[in-house]
Amino acid sequence: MNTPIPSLGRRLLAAALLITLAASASADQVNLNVELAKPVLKAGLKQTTYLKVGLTGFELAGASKRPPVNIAIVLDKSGSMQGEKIRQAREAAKMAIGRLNANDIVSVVSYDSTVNVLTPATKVTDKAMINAQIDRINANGSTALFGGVSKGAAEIRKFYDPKRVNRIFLLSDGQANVGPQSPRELGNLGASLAKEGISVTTLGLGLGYNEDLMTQLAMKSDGSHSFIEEPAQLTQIFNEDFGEALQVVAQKVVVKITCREGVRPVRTLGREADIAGQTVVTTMNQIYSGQEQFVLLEVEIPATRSGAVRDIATVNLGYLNMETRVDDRLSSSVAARFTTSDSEIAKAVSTEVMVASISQIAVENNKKATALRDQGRIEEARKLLLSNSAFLGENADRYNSDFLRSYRALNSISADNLDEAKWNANRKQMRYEQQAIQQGKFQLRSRGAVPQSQSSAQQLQQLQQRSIPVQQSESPTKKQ
Amino acid sequence: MKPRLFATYLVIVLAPLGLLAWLGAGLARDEQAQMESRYRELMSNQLAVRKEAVAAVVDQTERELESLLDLPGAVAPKKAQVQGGSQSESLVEASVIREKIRGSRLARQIFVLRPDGGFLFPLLDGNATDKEKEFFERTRSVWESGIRLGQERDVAGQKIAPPTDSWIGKRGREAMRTSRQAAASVSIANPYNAQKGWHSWFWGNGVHLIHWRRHDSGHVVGVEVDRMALLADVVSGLPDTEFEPSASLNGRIALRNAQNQAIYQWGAYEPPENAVPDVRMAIDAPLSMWTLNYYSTPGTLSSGAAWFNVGTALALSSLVIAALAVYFFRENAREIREAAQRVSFVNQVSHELKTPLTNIRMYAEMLEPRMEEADESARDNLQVIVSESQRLSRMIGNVLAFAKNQRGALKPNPRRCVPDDVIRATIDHFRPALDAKGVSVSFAAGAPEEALLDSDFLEQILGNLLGNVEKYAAVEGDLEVVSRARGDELTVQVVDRGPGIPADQRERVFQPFQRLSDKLTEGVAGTGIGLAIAREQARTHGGDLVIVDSDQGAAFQLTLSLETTKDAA
Repeated sequence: MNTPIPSLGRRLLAAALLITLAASASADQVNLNVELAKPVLKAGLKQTTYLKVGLTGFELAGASKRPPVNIAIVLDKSGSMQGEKIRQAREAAKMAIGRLNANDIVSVVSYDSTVNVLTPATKVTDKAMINAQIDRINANGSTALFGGVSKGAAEIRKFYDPKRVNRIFLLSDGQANVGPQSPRELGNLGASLAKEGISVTTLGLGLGYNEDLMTQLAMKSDGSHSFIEEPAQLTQIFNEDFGEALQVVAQKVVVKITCREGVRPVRTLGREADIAGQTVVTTMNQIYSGQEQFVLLEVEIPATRSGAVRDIATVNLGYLNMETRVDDRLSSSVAARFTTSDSEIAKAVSTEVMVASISQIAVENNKKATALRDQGRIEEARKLLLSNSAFLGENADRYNSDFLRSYRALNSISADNLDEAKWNANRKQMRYEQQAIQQGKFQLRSRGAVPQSQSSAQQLQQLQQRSIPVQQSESPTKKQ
Repeated sequence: MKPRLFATYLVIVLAPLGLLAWLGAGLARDEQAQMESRYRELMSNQLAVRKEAVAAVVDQTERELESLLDLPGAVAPKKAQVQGGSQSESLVEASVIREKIRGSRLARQIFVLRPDGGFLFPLLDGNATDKEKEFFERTRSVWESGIRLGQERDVAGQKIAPPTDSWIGKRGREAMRTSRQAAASVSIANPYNAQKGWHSWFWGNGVHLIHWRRHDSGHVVGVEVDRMALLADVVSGLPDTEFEPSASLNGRIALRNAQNQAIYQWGAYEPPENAVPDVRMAIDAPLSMWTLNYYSTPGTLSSGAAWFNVGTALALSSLVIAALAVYFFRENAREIREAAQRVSFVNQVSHELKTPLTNIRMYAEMLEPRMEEADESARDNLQVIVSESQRLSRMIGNVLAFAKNQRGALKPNPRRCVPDDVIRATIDHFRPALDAKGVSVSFAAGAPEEALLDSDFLEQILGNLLGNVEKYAAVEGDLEVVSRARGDELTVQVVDRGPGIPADQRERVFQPFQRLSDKLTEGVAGTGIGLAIAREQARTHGGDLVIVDSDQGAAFQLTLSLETTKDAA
């Protein structure tokens, strides 16, 4: 069980152990854990708190047990990819092909101003042939990103199967300039792909790509996004992201939270959800082995008398179990107790939910700072980042969270790199961090070549030495 | 002579060539146009195939959407009667619809209208999701346009009522303002009594589509199509560059939206920016604002083949014509050379004749005074020898002068002399012959001053004129010679009382080898070059020889330019 934060880890480990004991006879299931930030609330007050629905993927029995994948590798081969970039991209794609087996389906699409379906969707039986097609890719022309992704999706649909991991890997170093090209439009494309169960993993290479577009496409399709500043990092990061697709244990995940009478759902943090009256519905494309995905909901709870116990919400979870190939349904509910004792309230606070909520709030602040910087209001952006940093630091100490400490350091670094020369790379890193945290990741890649001030660099180094698990190996679930 | 000849030949070669080129160009243009129209037809066919593919995607979309338009739960008559229904009822319906939206990649939003045009779903009560609120922002212009999807137009022309008065936020209103074509809503089916149809409108970045169906109950269920999903489907319905390589597509096909931006394109050829498509074809409704554009590689349409053919033909015919021209030029040159050789032969012969003739003449003249004592007939005989040899030497002089003129070597050689003396001496030469014919010569001398003058020229010209008088005008009477020197010009008039020369023939007599062919010349020998050479000599001497009007006979007027030596003397 991979848990970057020791305190969080212990809790989850305990939970997982419980689940394992309880369900030792049956097959593996996703662990559904519903928790309130404050399970004990102040009596006689109308107040809000956070409700966290955590979904932790079970461990795969072995590499051979992993679900088959249906993958489209979409490579930007526009003029800007010339040289080292395209060479690395070819290597990365070939390395990915190397990790697949004859049960998997792959297609390779390249695009410049037009789209080339180099390898239409095919079972991975003849790797040499696929690799030969990849070697044909040479960079030139402009960028029909929308067409490339659409063609990739079309190839996946040819053999679409909900019991496979259906995913597009998009590698681009540039802007989209043929076809729809705004972040909103590509986000909509991502959302529509997500409805089909297709996620897009976007890899932004260098400093020329449109990070808003790439993060929107990734987030709305419930994929992930990576910022690869140097071509030399490409193979490794591509490999890591590719490995993620091989770790899927559940798909077509629907989480329905029904709030009890009097409890009002206010908003979700991080993930988008449909809130209609008392019902909150959100979908996820997949849950990864050993990783926790979560939904954070802010709820408004009416004033209740001391000593009472109030049911807050019921959570229904449905998903397709990729190991057993059957639809699993789980449900759980959560209640709050009311008291007048502040110490009792403080004692009961869930560190885990608080850390998750604080991270999401910090992301919202970080996004606001990005918007301010986009408007040229550098000083305001810097102030906001520094106050965000302070907010994170304060809570890191309160909840003894290394993750919050590391994000605090990253916020300080962002505040140091708002000037024109560094902003481009910094913005890409910020977008990467924002989407990663919103997707529920507690593992962030360090800042590559983004210059760091002495103090913040030291801070980060210290943190990394202590415990921050910066993703390094092919196995993101490696135990600490 | 030579440049003129050359120019003539040039014209002979270039004129037919020009004609050929003109005709050939016309032919090539025709062929070009024919080829172009064939290519355009081919391109149109290709585009038509792709247009069908897009239409098929739209049809497929429509089929997929059909199932969403079926909402028995939501549009059951019982529920319809409860317009506005209780909250729990509408919640049940809403969750079913929302579930459908979540499950369909093509549906961005589903809506249900009551028979009276009001919204049944979604409603902007407290239970609307953010997506539903955004839907109303996007579609505001649709409802404000007064469109009634498949519903009877009501008498008051009432619009579809938005669910609440404050149903649109500030953000939506701003979006409306920035969307220039917000009003450009297009409905495909007749919206007033059709059972189903498409409706398209512009919002934000492009065209949005609604597909709707009217149920028997009067309820209308509509789906707002997810634009990006439809677009992605259209893209997957069209080929890619790899699948349709340059072999079957010689160029580039681009699908463009209403703003003429490329949505998707394929084909290896990269046309320059702002290139004009060779063929453009509009997509069928409801995507009729999109066009398919064919850009062929340069040279496909304006292939040089036709021009190459014409060029080759032109080159070949110009070679043939040039060869012919060279052939004729050489023939002509040979003839000219032969003529020149003849002239040169006559010239040489004349030179050879001149020496013995001079001797004959000299000795005859030397003999004349010694014949005083001899009898009359012997003197007469000698007289004949002298005058005939003089005539012969004049003829030889003419031939030599003519040959000189041919070579361009006829040049005066002025010497100091008194013109009147030269004239008088010449007349004296002719006197015996003229006397013998009964012609009396009178000379009114008017140029007694010494001047620079080629006396040989003057003598020869006068000799020719007097010789002519002797030959042709010798029937009767007088011959009047008048000389006058005025300034630097000497004028000599020779007027006879002969038959004269008709006015229309006056120039002809100066042409070489021309003799007035009538009774006048009959039986008279002559070379026909005398007057021609006389005029040529006069002209090279800065003057002229012309025939002037006179009462009777022929009046020749000779002018020569003089360089008087009076001042110098």
